[in-house]
Amino acid sequence: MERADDVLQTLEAMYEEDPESVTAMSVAKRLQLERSTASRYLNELVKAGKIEKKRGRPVKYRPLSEDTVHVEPVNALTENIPMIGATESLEEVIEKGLAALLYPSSPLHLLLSGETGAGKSFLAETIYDIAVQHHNLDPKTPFVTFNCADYAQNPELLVGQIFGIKKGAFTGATQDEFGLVAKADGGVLFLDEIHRLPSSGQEMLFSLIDKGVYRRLGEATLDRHATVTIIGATTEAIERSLLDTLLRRFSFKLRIPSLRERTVDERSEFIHYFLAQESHKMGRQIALDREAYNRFLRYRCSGNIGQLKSDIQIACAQAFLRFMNGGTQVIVKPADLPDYVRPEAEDVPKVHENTYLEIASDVPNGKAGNARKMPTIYERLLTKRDQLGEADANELDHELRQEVNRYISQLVQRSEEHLHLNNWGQYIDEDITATLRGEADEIRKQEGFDVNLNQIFVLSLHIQAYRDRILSEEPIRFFPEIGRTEAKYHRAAKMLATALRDKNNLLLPEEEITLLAHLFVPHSEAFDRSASITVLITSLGECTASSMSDVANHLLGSPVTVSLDRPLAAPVEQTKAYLEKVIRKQPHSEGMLILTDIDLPAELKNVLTSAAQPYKLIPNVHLNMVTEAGRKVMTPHYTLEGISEELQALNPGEHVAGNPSALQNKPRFIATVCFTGERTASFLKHWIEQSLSFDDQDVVIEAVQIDPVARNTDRIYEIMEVYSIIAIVGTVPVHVGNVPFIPAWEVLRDEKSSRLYDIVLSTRPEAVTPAEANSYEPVQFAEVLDLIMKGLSEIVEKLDVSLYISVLKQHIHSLRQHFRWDPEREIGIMMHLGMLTDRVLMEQQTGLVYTSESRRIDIHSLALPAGDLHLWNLVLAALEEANSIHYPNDAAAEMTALSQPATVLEST
Amino acid sequence: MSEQINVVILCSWGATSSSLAQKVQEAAKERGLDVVAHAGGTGEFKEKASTYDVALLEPQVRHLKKEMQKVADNAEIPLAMVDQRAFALMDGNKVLDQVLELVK
Repeated sequence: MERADDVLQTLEAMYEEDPESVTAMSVAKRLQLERSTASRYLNELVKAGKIEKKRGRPVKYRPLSEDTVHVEPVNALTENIPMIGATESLEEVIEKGLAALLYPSSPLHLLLSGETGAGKSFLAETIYDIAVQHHNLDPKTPFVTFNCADYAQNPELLVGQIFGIKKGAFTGATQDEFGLVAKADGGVLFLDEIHRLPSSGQEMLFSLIDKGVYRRLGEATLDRHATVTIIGATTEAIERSLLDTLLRRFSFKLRIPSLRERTVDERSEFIHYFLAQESHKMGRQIALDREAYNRFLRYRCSGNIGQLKSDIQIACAQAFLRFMNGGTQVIVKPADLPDYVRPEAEDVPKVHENTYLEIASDVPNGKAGNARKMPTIYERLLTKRDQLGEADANELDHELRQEVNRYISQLVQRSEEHLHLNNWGQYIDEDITATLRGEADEIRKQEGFDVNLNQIFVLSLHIQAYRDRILSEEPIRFFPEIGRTEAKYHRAAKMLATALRDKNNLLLPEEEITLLAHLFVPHSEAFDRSASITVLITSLGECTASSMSDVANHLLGSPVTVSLDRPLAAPVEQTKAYLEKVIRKQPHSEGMLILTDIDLPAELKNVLTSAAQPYKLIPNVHLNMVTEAGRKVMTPHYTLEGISEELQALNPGEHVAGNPSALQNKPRFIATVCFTGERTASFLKHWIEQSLSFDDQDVVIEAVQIDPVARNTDRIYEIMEVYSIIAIVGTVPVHVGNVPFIPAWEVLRDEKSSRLYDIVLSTRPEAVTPAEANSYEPVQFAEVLDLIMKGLSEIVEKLDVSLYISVLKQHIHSLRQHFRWDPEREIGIMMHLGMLTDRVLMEQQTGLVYTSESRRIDIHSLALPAGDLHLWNLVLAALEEANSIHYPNDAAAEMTALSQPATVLEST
Repeated sequence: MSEQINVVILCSWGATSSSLAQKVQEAAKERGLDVVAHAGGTGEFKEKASTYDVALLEPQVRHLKKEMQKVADNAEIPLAMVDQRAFALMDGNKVLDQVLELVK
């Protein structure tokens, strides 16, 4: 079939010249053939998989090279730095970023915000690179990056790192030290996670931006000068918690879209770019299997670009390993991808069915990769092979496999930490966590078992409590005799004790080590997150369902929910096919819980009815319902029926039913438990006491000791005679009757998303009617908005009350579910917001500024929950749009502070 | 009931209490009662509690009630939550009734 080869070559050549020109007609013309003849050859080539048809008329063709997408290695920086999304989502950001950078003499400062992993630092670097390459920015211009989170546990040192330290400023400052500001003088200082700067640091930064002066830590006067362009980066919700004065100094505040919001084409460019980086590292071409490419393109990547990158790195390492074992080239296959990298049902519009990556050959290695000369995983593998040259094949294979596994676990750990556990520092000193993390790695290597993040947390907490106790010089009380664990756990505990002695100067007695060993024993039961009930979120709209599912999975720290978006334009057939796919993918499922916006069309219901698993359909889905459902399916004793009943109770108009009446008689009790009944347990007791709201002061909390071997205690049963135990919280899972056990980390991580919070609320005895209100009916939720509509109409000047109410109506449900306030509280908050909005309108329309009463509370000094802020930001944004106004920067913080349940608001 | 009654309505940052105080003031004027309605934040109440005869707390700061009650007890004045319905409706008359009930 020589003729066909001719056709193929011609087609490829034409495609090079102009990809849009390749039609049957143009090919025929070029080869001087009849159109029908050319067409026949082309069809043969399509059949043979060598070319493909593109959609549309006239049909255009494009060449395909085998079954893979090739990525060439790159060896030098080329002139064209592809700025992914430069013409799409990021155009504005880059333009402004360049403007900021190109006037170093009078710097404009830039604040980037975006979700974790959205690529803020990547963008900052790229803007700098573009400025150097295309805009004559002197390549010697310093570009200094620093992540404020690295020193978040030690604010003083953090400030010192940035501004420099004067000798003697604090113990250990034995010599003068330059700061990053000095290093970045005349150039750019990129401060990631800038919100971690303490306010003193923010003020110093403000002086630097404003007047170009600063001082080192420990110096009295501001007499150092520097001209520095500051690029700050922060996660979205926190932007408002920077000091106002500093916030105003940023000439541009730019939001980076998350990967979710990027176009498919941009995502494909990212994939390509990261592959090329890997290709560069290994010094050879990488081929990407088409299926693997599709998966990368379509999987739900909640950790954003950062995660996409590490997933690609994992896949490449796997592929490289296979190549070393006798492959002819490095091919990334679907099996190399982490398990969760697979397309999900939400990608209904599968628009890119026929697109394949072009061969990109000019992507430079990332700047970050150049900065440090660490051996890459590929170099490590090659070195390892050289070292083991003599070893037999099996051993070699084993060793290399281990190397890769270690690499993967590093990558995974890094991203997990980033996503979930940024705030350990609140409870545990950094040095302890550091030792624990290091030892966890050692233990994995030497003893061959994994210490998971929760265990690290529990161990850290325990050790912290032990140290605090020693420091406070409280006598160590009677310590119960406890049994030994399996030898490997005991050895692990010993390793940890040695490390704590060497690194933290902490000496543990023998029985303490025995105790630690118990904490190394995995308790899969308590932390088992695999659910046997599938939770499927579905909603009309491009991404309503998937974003709810994303947020819930993020909050739960586990991908327990799946989603099905139903874009209005998508044909039912397509949605149906995806639903079927979802069902097929959950073969282990004991049932499906389908949370939907409105009742599903008959076609979809039929699919469900014919499925093997039972299902329950719950309408009026909202975020809280999703999180609730996810949380419940992770608890083993729930049934499909049980969950669906409880979830339906979350729907508007139906109150969350108070718990069994038996509870009413006995006072409520929470037991906090640990092996000693003292340290961790009393820490937890204290913590919970602090977070209980005014209405829950009746709850009795007691620290209880748990026998490490029996994992039980008679004390609990004694307590049950007198009290009703509503929950057991602690580091050691304890199951007594139906009392729910809640692991300590869940309570400490975020009160609001903890089951404890719900339990306390739902067991609250019937509210005692306040004496002063007894002559009037208490307000019901259903009345609130009508009432305040009348009330606000009485007092506002400019506000369109019915507009205000109609916007609130759209959000009231999520607000209620999130904050769990009662109608009275809600009235107060909504009236307040109404008046605030009225003020803003007046200021805007009259140009006058109404001095508001002096604030009693310094909002910035409060630790405001990011979730609360986020929700208020959404509501405020909706009100801003409806009223064409702008709230003051701290409005969301103000509303958040006002919505707090406990006494955080106490005036200063 | 010949003496002047000084009532203070407390909210967190003065956004709504001044409106409600005004409503109460109007109601009192209409009924010819010698009532002066003030608005204030919970912070300053600590210092000025004893200058009032009665204090009402708005619903959005209910969580501060315990603390405020202590302040009021020290100043020996009654303190209560504003009736929620009356507050929502900005019903000055009803709140005035509540005030009169409390100082009885």
